[in-house]
Amino acid sequence: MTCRSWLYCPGNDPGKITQAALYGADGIILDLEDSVAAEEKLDARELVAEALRSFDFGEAQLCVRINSLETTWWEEDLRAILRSPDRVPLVRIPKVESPETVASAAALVAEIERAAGRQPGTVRFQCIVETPRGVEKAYSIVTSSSRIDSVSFGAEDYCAQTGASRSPAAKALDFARSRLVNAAGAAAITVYDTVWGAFRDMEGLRDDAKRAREIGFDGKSAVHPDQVALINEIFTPSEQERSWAKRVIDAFDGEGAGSRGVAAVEGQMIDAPVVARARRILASPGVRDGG
Amino acid sequence: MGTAVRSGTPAKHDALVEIIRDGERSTDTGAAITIDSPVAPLFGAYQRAAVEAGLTGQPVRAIRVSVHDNHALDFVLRARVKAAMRKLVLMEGMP
Repeated sequence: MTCRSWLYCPGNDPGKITQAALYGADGIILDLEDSVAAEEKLDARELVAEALRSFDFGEAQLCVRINSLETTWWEEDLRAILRSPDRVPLVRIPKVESPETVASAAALVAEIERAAGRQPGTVRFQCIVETPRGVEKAYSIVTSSSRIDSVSFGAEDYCAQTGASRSPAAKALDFARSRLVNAAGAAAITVYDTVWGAFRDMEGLRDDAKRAREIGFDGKSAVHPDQVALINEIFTPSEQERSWAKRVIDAFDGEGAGSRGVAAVEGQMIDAPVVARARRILASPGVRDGG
Repeated sequence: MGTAVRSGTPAKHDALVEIIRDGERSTDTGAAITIDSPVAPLFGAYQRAAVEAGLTGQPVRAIRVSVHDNHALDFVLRARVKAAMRKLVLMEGMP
């Protein structure tokens, strides 16, 4: 399921966990990484594992950001969060720079699935690419495993390593963003944009989210509940877009246009790729749910 | 008395769980549980059940479990108990 918005939730904060589903985010990321201090990693891991086991998050898709595979925590993170027999979250793997990182995670997950008697391949990944090396290897990363559901861009580490500006007006992230969108498109997977950390700057968020959508991202992560509604708004097709999409599909499906492979709508040639884009618009969460 | 281990905080929706291996108690005994909670009159039985669920499968001989609850849900109680037990096991050098 494509999510317009993903809301980060610190994994060691019971209050935030129990309220996370109230803000309308399509997806919730229970975080074991950067929002959890080192001395609280064990506590957060158990809290997230038990929340996955029994707390009702409503319709939101669930994801857990584990600790980087360069830490000593990631293996226990996976064992804990995959403990529940009934609810398997998407696993968000941070700082992915190579296919080998994905392979290491996949190997342990396969072992956990076997031990639990689960269908192999049940657990799916969302890779975060957030370094220059990761951006360079984007396509090889996103095609390295059939477990990869989606990919996300992380700008904070990328900017720290490259010196790029985080300002939306500077367009400094266009190259990295476009490379990731291209790789995701080539692999036919969903791609999500980075967070906007200045959570009181709603105009900055609006500009950043609009730029991300223009480049081709399917959604965006949020660090604060106040950001969710705006992100959902930006990534929901407008009434104009929906109307166009319906006209395209009606024209292509009517009058045997499908067998000719081409139709015309308001002076524009419509062929299979355009129809695919129209169908994608109408399948968007905001449109599908009547939002 | 051994050294206490802790998990959780006194914050709203959380519970602070302390566990200590009590050398003065017989090793034949299990866990002695005390729960301090503003909602104990209404939910005390459920809270105790959640704490006991968190102790299931753990080495609970001669331990004292103190729960200082601030409106935590059952999954929070279970998690805090499990995390505290894990810390106790690690401290005692068990696998």
